[in-house]
Amino acid sequence: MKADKVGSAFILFRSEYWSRDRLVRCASYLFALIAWEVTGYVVGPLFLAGPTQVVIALREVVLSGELLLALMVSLQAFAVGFAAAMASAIPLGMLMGRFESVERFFEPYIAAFFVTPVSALIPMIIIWFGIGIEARVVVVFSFCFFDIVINTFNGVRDVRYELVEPVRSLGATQRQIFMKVILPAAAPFVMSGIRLGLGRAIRGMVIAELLLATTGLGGMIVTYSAVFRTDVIFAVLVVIVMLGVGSVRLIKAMESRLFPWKETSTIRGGFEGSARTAPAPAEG
Amino acid sequence: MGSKILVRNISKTFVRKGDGDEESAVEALKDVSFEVADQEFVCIVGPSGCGKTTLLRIIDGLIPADAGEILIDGQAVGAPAQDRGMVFQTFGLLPWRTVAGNVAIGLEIAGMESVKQKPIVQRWIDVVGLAGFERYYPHELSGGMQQRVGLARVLAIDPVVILMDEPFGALDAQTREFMQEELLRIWNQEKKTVIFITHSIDEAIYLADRVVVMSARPGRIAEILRVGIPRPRWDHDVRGTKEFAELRAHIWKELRKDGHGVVAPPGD
Ligand SMILES: Nc1ncnc2c1ncn2[C@@H]1O[C@H](COP(=O)(O)OP(=O)(O)O)[C@@H](O)[C@H]1O
Ligand SMILES: [Mg+2]
Repeated sequence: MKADKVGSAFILFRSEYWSRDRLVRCASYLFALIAWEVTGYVVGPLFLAGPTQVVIALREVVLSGELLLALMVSLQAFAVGFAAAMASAIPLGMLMGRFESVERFFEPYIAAFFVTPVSALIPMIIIWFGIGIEARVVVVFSFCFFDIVINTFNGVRDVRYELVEPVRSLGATQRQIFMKVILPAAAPFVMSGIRLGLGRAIRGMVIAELLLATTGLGGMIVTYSAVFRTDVIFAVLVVIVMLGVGSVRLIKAMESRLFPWKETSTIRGGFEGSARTAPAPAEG
Repeated sequence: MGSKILVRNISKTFVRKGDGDEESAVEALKDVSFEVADQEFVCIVGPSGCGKTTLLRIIDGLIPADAGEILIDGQAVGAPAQDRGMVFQTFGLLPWRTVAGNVAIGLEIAGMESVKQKPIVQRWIDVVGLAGFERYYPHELSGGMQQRVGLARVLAIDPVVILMDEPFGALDAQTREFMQEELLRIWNQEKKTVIFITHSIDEAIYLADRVVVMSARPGRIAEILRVGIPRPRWDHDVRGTKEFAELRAHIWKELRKDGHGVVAPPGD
């Protein structure tokens, strides 16, 4: 079949593209590592531990079990806060996108909270919730809630009428329109809200541990900075970065699995999109 | 032959809010009446902005008329239902559904079990010439192929009336002629009643049993012409015949009378 040939050429094009991409990436990492090691060597470990020392420190805290324990404490507050944010922000965003009166009702507060730095609210959070796990959950929640609401809201509100009208024309009920058009059309936006929210939730998690209770990964940073152990501090930072980057990557992979139709209809996929467009049968 | 569709005294005015508080009204349709016989192919031509899309959306039940009524088999139409199917100028396919998924959506809405959907979906994919493309997404298809999906989606619900709003307007000339011929073949086999909107005079004459000529501001019917060219029309050069040329000249003159030409700026 003609279309298959076009398809395989397209894959070849992609794999070529990726190998070059990977080369540039590797060069970038190598450069950063060398620069870091040299700087660490010049200024001394009291100010900046180099990557080799960080790796040694990482090994140390992993083997002692301290890191795992801190990670569990952190992830507890993170998981509860993030799950609660998703469970409330997605329905709220959908209602706001669907019904103008709901948007009118909530919009000013959403806008206000969105621009307010959550860290500035931490004193109030301490007054209301103390410094236990509840308070850390609240911080994580407030960090990511609004990103998810706003992205979900935009996704639902901006569903194009050209998509809705043909389905309505086929006799769909309001419920069917919601399930078959609005929900799938908004899903990629909800997902990117979740992805953005996830990054912010991790930030919230660490900030709560720095400013509220000295516990979890953030607590490790506080404890070890008191004794100038920059190697351990960086080891913890590496773990936090890996946690963030890893989970965002995971969601991105999910996105391209869930929304294959999105891949090539963007400007970046433009060339691939046209390469993939097979000629109509019998038309040529 | 009794009339299948009765369009009776349809009027529609759109009121739109301007920048400030001032409102402007556009009289999109004024007292439009005509009828379509069973299994007839009627084309509507008119300058852009004369209310063609509005009329079709009213017949489909997507928007209400201010006055008048639409009868199909003597029954007044209300909300959109599967006795009518509409093909859109912008195709209107769901980008997250494959060809097969898009064709199946009407059946899903009707609540048909998916095992029963499969043979119907495959049949119409075959009829519109898309066999082998079942798993393609709309963005992987050319415009002509996308509109074939739009047509198959409507044929799958087996409507008595098919409403087509400039369905080939976004296609290049060659694809367009090819699609016109395909459409006539399908219509010849399926014997549906068709209302087909176009701004191309040639397309109207080539396809229609009768051509309804509309004029703008307010949108109303200027003339209804019978196209006597024998069918099938795809086996000889219909466009080169004297009859075709005469009809074309006549409709052209009728549209010019309007003072807008064929292409007038919409709105204002
Ligand atoms: N939803 C709407 N709101 C306001 N005005 C509209 C709307 N739809 C159509 N119109 C106006 O009605 C007139 C007829 O539009 P339309 O039916 O789309 O014309 P055509 O399909 O013949 O080009 C135009 O002046 C257009 O601006
Ligand atoms: Mg139109």
